[in-house]
Parts: sequence; C-alpha cells; structure tokens
Amino acid sequence: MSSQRKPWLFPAILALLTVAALLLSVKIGAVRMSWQEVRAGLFFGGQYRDIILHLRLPRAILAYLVGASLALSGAILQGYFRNSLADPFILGVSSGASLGAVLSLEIGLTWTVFGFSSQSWLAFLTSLLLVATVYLISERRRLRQGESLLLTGIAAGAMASALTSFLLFRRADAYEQAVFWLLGSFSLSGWKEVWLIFPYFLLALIVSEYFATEMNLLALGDEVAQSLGCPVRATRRLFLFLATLLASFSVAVAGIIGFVGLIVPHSVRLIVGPDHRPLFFYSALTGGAMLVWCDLVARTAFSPSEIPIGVITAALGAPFFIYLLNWPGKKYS
Amino acid sequence: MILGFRGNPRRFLDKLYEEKLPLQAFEIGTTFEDLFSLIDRISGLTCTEARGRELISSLRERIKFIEARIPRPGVGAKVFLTLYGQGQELWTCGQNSYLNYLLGRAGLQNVAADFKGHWLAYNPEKLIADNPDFILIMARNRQAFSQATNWLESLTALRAITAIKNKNFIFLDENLFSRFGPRLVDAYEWLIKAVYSASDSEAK
Repeated sequence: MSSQRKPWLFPAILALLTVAALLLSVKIGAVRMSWQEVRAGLFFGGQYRDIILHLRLPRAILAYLVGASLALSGAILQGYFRNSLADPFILGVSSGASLGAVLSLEIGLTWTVFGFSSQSWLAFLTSLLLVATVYLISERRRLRQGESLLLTGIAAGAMASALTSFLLFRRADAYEQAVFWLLGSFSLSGWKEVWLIFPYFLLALIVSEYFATEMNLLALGDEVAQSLGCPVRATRRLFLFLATLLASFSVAVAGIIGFVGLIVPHSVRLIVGPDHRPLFFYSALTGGAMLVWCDLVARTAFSPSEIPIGVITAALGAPFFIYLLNWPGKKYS
Repeated sequence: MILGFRGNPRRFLDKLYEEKLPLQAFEIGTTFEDLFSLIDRISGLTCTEARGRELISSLRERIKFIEARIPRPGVGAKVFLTLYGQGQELWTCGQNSYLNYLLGRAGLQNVAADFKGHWLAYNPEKLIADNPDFILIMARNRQAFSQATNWLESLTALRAITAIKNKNFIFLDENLFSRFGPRLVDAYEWLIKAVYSASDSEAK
C-alpha cells in the first residue's frame, strides 16, 4: 500500500486537512469576514473578537476533540471485540444517552449545573449507568465475555431505545427538540466544554497508546494473549472503561454523533494496518479532522439555521464507507 | 365530530378519513384574521354561530384597546424571541409563524423575520450581528425564565449583545404563546405590556 512506500504521505495529508479545516472554521460562518478581520479578532480584539474567540475557535476545537474521542473510542472497541463493525455506541452509550436526554424533556428539567444543561447531565449519567449494567450482567454469563458483553449491550440498547420512543410518543411536542439534540450539535459550545473533554481525551490517548501492544496481543485471542503474559481481564476492563468514558463525554458535550467512531478507525486501518499503536493515534487525529469539516458544513450549508451534525456525518460518511469496503487495495482481514 | 389540525400527523388524519369518521381538519393560521375565521368555522360546525360571532367581536374590541397602548407602531425595538429548555440551541420563530406576526403587529422587529419556516435553530453569530434590544424568552414559569436569563448571561460569546448587556429579558408565558387560539389575544396583550413598559423604564 502507498503508506508503506511513502510513510510520510498520510501524516502530511492529514496535517494539511486538519490545518485547513481549523482555519476555515475560524474564517467561515454566518457572519462574513475577511482574513484581516479574522487576524484582528484573534490577536488584536477587533470587531469580531467575540465571534472568533468565543464561538468559532472553541467550537472548532471542541469538534476536533469530540471527533478524536469518538474515533479513538471506536478504534478501541473494534480491537476489543475484534470486529470492525463495532463503534462507540455498540454497548448502549447512545441509547442510554438518548433515554437520559428525552427523560429530561419528559420530566421538564431545565436546571443547569457548571454551565451544562440537565439534558447533558442526564444523558451522561444514563449512558454510563447503562454500560455499567451491561458489563455487570455480562460478567455473570457463561458465554465468552466479549460475546456476552456485545449481546447484552445490543439488548440493553434496544430496550433503552424502546423506552425513548415511548417517551417521545407520549410527548409529541418534545419530538423536534429531542431530535435536534439526539443528532448532535456544537452550537453555542464554548471553552468550558473544551476544558471538560480535553484532559480526559489526552489521558485516554496516552493510556491507550501505552497499552496498545496489549491490545495487539488481545487481537490474537484471549488464550494466546494470556499465554504471552498479557493480563487479559484487567486490560479488557481498562479499554472498556476508556472507550465508554470517551463516548459518554462526547455525548454530554455534543449529543449523539454517529458514524465517526465506525468509519474512521476502519478507514485508518486500511491505511496504517492493524497495529494498534499507529491505529489509535491516527484514528484520533483523523476523527478530529473529519468532524471539524462536518461541523463546517452543518453550520454553513443552511445558514443562519443549523443542521444537526449527525446528519452530515451520516450523509458523507455512509457513501465513503461503502466505497472503502469495496476498495480493491484492501489488504487486512 | 372530530376536530383535527394539520399539525397532527397526517397518517392519523388519513386513517380517520378512511374510517369515514366525521373529521374536520383545520390549518393553523398566522394572523388574527385566520384566528377569527377558525372560530367562525368551528362555531358553524358546532351550531354556535351567535356565540362565535360574539367571541370574535369581543376579541376585535380587545385588540383595538390593546393596540392603543403601542406608542409608535412600526418603529419598535429589535427583538429576538427564543424558547428555553431546548438544549444548547437558540430556537426562534421564523417568517411563517404566528409569533412573528404578533411581533410585527406589536411594532417590533423580529431579527429572524427574514427566514422562512415556523421555527429555526438560530445561528448565534447571526444573533451577535443582529444585536437585538430585547430578548423575549418563552418559558413555562418564572423560575425557568430566570434559569434562561442566567444561561444567556453565562455565554461569554453573547455578552456584547445589547439585550444581554442591559439585561433586557422579557418573560413570555409559554402557556399563552404556544397555542393558536383565542388566548393569542391574551398573549398579544402580555407582549405589548411587557415590551413597552420595559422600553419606558429603559428610557427613564
């Protein structure tokens, strides 16, 4: 593959795309401004200072961090389950979060804590609670743990989705607002969201890189990994914890954004191969860049109205994913 | 008899038609005239024409009385109407909504009046550029309204907006403003009283 002949090519293209996405995100928006005005806003406090420094810049950085978190979470879970169809929401994070968000609408909660709405808090807590429940139940089953976890996760997710649908059915007037939240958005995101997710993302990236070799061993099967000295149970717990929290934090600050955690690790694996050390790192960087581009489209395509970013990730991601699946150069299994 | 609105899911209405049930489906209107014709039609269908006419006439009188309070029609302040409790979005009423009509009729300039649709999630950048004088917040009660104002004031990006700088927030009772019916006149009265008394106190 080209990355083996020209190892600098992928990082170079990725860096270029990332820089372009961030620059354009700061430049383009509902309010038109020139590069000079952008520069003035960034460094000298010009007319558009608040728009640039408190809307566009934190939004672009947050989109990057959420994209990176979701992609890293997806890469971890694909390795965990040894299944490239796994994504951050497979264990019920998204269903749990949806249930929490809709429950908040149903009860009529409108409080804010530390600048975060009741919807965000409830979504975060229910998603964690659901995955913890799934984990505890699957631990008691006799099936192999990975399979048990996956199946319990799917069942619990379906149950949470059914409850969400029931609540939405009861409150038809809440449907529109719920849909917008469920499809994800970075509107009015500020620095506080950035500072909430950034330390955890950084920690998760460092830890997952540090234990990436163990994940490579797990890819050979639990028995083989055990015989090669890998503490299978502890490693699995650690990766599950990292992936779940990455997805839950993302959901709490931006709602549910699908596809990134599925297609990015999958695509990156086609380029860098199945070794989890480069895979985790490049998945995070690619996910970040991809979501910044998607957010740019979401907020400018129908300006001044915004469309949910989940619509964009699915609309752009799905055809790209189909193309990748049929890519003749695909080399790994 | 079943009275339905076009806001109800179409498949439910179709099902009722198919079952040959006596369904009357109405469009939700945007103006007071639409409201009067709705009352007229419903009173006709329920054989209460006289009471319908009486209601329309009393509503017309009230509107006339309320409008006498508007100091300079058509030259009003720039306003942004938003709903609270809708996540991190600034939902506002667009060109095709009855709320936009109420604002215009009250002599106010809705900053989102140029945008089609009933409701839209407004871009915060655009709001900063529009710089409204008042932010009208539809909330279910005073407590929710106060949470909404706290939330808006906490958004650093919006701090330069005149309405936020001067704390020009106006509470609109969601119960009055979210239904297209006779209570719309109560909503209109509430709006005019609230905006113009706030304008007066600001001028003083």
